[in-house]
Amino acid sequence: MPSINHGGASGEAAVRMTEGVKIYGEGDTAVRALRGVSLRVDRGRFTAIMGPSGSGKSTLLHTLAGLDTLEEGEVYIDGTALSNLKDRDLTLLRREKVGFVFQTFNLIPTLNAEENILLPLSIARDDVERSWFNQIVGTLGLEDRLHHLPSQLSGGQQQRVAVARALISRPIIVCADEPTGNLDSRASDELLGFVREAVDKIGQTVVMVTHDPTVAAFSDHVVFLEDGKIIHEMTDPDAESIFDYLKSLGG
Amino acid sequence: MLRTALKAIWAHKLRLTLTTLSIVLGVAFVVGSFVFTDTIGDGFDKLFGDVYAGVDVQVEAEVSDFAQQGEEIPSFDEGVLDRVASVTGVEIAVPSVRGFGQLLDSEGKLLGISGPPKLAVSWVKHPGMNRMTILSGDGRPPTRPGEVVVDISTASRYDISVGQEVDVAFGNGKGRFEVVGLATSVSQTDFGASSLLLFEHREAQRLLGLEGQLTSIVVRAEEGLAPQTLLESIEAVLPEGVSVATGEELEQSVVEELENALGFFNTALLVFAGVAILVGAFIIQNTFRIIVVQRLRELALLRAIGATSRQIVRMVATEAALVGLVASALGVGAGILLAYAMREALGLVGFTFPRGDLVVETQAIVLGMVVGVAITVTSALLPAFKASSVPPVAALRVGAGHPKRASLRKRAIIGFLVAGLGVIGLVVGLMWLGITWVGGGALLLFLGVAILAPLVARPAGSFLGWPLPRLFGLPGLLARENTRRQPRRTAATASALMIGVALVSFVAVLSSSISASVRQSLLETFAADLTITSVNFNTGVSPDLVDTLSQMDDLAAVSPVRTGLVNIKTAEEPEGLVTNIAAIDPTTVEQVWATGADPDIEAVVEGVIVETNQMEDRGWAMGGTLTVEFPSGESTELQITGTLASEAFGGILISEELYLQHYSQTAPALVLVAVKEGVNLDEVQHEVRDLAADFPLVQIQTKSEFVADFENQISQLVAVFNGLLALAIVIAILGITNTLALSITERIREIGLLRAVGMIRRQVRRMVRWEAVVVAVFGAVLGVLLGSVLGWAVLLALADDGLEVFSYPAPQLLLYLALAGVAGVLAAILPARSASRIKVLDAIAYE
Repeated sequence: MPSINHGGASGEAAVRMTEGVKIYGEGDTAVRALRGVSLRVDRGRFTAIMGPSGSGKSTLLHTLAGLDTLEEGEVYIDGTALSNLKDRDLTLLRREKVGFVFQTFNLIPTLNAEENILLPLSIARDDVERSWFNQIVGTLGLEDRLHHLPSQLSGGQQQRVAVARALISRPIIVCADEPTGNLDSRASDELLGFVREAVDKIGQTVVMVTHDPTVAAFSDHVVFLEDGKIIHEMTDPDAESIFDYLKSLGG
Repeated sequence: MLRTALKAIWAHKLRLTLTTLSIVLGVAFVVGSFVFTDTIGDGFDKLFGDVYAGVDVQVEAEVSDFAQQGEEIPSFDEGVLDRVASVTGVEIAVPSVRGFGQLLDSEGKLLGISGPPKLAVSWVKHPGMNRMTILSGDGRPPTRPGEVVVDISTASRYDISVGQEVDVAFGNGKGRFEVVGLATSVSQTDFGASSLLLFEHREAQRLLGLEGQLTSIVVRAEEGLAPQTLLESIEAVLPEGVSVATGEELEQSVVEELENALGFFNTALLVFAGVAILVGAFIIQNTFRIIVVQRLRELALLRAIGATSRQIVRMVATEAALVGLVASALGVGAGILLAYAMREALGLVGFTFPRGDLVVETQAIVLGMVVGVAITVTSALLPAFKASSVPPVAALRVGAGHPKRASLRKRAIIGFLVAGLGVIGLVVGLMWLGITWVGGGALLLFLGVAILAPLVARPAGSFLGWPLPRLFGLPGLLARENTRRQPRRTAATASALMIGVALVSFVAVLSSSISASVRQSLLETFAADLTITSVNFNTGVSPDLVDTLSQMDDLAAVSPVRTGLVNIKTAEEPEGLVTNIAAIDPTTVEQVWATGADPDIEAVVEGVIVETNQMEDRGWAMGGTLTVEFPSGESTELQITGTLASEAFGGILISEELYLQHYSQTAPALVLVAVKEGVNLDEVQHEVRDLAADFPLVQIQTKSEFVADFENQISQLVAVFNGLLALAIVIAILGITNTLALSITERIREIGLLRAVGMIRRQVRRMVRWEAVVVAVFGAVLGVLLGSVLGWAVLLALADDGLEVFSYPAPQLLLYLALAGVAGVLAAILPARSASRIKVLDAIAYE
């Protein structure tokens, strides 16, 4: 198979950013949230993005996921450059290739758990692959919660539904923004365990923003951001080494 | 607190605009009604003010009190003039006649619309006693037969100039005249759509068929003699049936009559304005309720830092008062424009009113402001009290809940209670107490149903929205679920539309049943092939034409029907009952109308015959005696000599002979013609039309045309009603827009999430649009149901009065439901657009 467009036939990243610059506002009040970030997220890897508040970590995630656009540079999702896409095509691309887990407000309150999980497929009017659905629901332990409304679920259960929804359309990448931010440590560990399992068993690519070293420790790779620039990367991290690195920054 | 309220208003300009609009429209309707009627009234006051300008006293044929409003202009014998002229103290006594005369165009068609008076009168030769004058250069007064003077506003409207020849139609024919002058009113008053043609006195008598008769004698008293004194001397010489009044008295009675008519008109307009305001109140209340919920945390914060609950109430009420004040002021302005537009629009279709400036009375402005502010504040009070019950701790809770809600059971009890009272009011009103109770009952019923509506909003949403998920997938499903998530909000929005739709449905049911009833009774009893009437109410069908027709060989019967007012007194009702009677010709009437007379129609010659239902209602019996007072003041005792099965001509019949003894009008209002068997109806019709060509005021209709004409009149009336109710419906639709816009600001994060996981803009718009359609159709379904029940109840109550057929206009009501759906689509345009433009990131950005 000849290589197309952006090359890297077999080694093509799930998502890749080249020299990304993001500016909020104009003139004197302009804030450069990303100042030339280049990043490759390889397939089947669990990447964590860390950094202090205002470091640009959420902006990085949003631009990688096609929720926000860059002023300079380019983002490729599965080899497709995003900067030329119109709103409609960008939306369709997100629908097919990106799964989302947010910190809060992940679920549509009028839909039950099952409908929320199937949301991306329903929007696209795609068929549901029942065995895949059952497998996800089984793994996440949601079988007996499928007909509950979000208001009838615990916080942990709500986030598990969100993870299920992120996985259901077999996206190229799952983007998670502080997914455990509102959970207690037990529910948090449980949820991250599921995410880890998805990466290990089905080779799901995941990018996650967090400020918590114990959360980041579940990943394969940590990217540290400060003032809109990548300042450090760490592979196969553990909580302690992350903590130590952060402490060295603060000191 | 005032500053906080001001800031809250300013922070939500769009919401403010939408809320304001419903108040503006309602207030505009109220103010517009007053300004319009005041302006017209002022114009007519000026017009009539100088009618009696030079009149000290005036002699006229006597008319009983009950017949004052009759259309007929009664006349008296000319001989009275000499008696009056010879009374000491009379300086001048001028005889005059007044009747109907209308200009024709070159093709022989009537110029101008029917309605505003088209008068032909005698030219008064004495300047100072004539309110019309001919300015120099405008010709001269009429002196000979064949000459006419036209009022100058009519002349300029139809481009008539001195020297030209014009055709004029009268009750008993038409004629051609030379225009010798153009007359201006002494006070320069504009005539509006009325016209005035002036002829030499003898000529006028001849043209109007009043040879030897007068309709009035205008008298000027000698210098220094009080009109009242002269009146008494004249009264002494007048024969029976002729009366005298001072100019002042006459002017007063004309003005009073006019004020009554305009007052009725104004009341009718205000009823519709009231409906619009009621709908506006629903929307304001709903808006403030949503706003309070959205600002719950803000209000709780105010409470936490020490605001008392009374201060919270005062703050919300102040906000409402400010909004109400601004909106009412705009409404007053819009109302004045509306009145102006109404007058101009009516002028364009021929209803020209006397010219003059718009009359804006202070009381109209004050009333508009008071109504606007009061409605806004009252509507906001309930939400304000709810807001004050927010516990301060709610500010600290994440995702503060809604304020405590009244239990559903309590709502059901209150709703059924209010609706029940409404039903009682309706029943009592329909059976005994009349229209005010019916109106009040309907209002309570509407409120009751509106209170109950949230109880059915969820199932209704499921039911009306069931095809949506199948048709539109997820956006459809979400649209359906969104209508179900806040039943109170959905119900309140739908209820506003319900009111307008209920009223138009009611009108539809009623009019369709009236049409069907009349059609049925006409088909059952009406045997005439041709109906001959006059295009106006005053003149009737010329007796000359009746004579001519009677001699046609092809006609089996030519049956004239004369109508008039009488006052019937019985032992039970000594005050009397003013009603219509009809005089028929017993020898021909059975051939044109199946009267079902018992023992037979000839019985009418011996007395009076009455339709059976009326006999029963009024407690009359065969053989009983009625004292019948005629407009001339004469009374006679008549025995009930027979009954009628059909309610022909109003159901109370007397003989032609008796009629002609008591009424000066000899022309029948209606002539019914039956064609001989085997004769070609089309040919006869042509023949009759040819014979009638000399009588431009006569109109000839076949049976089906006659029925169609009646149905046409009903549908015109329905169109007017619907036009007036349209405003209430427009306000309700704005309410849907408003609610949706508010809901969408609440659902920003949800919509952002949907956009993040792949919903395209078109799907977002579709979701909002179909929610609006379901809400609108829900309101319309409630409205159609309520309107049908109301219509059915009213028809049930009127069944005895000849409305026996209940005709349910299903296609029309289905059309209303479909239109409501379309209205929903329109209402959703703006909110859908703003929803689809929500930026994903703004929506999911954390607090």
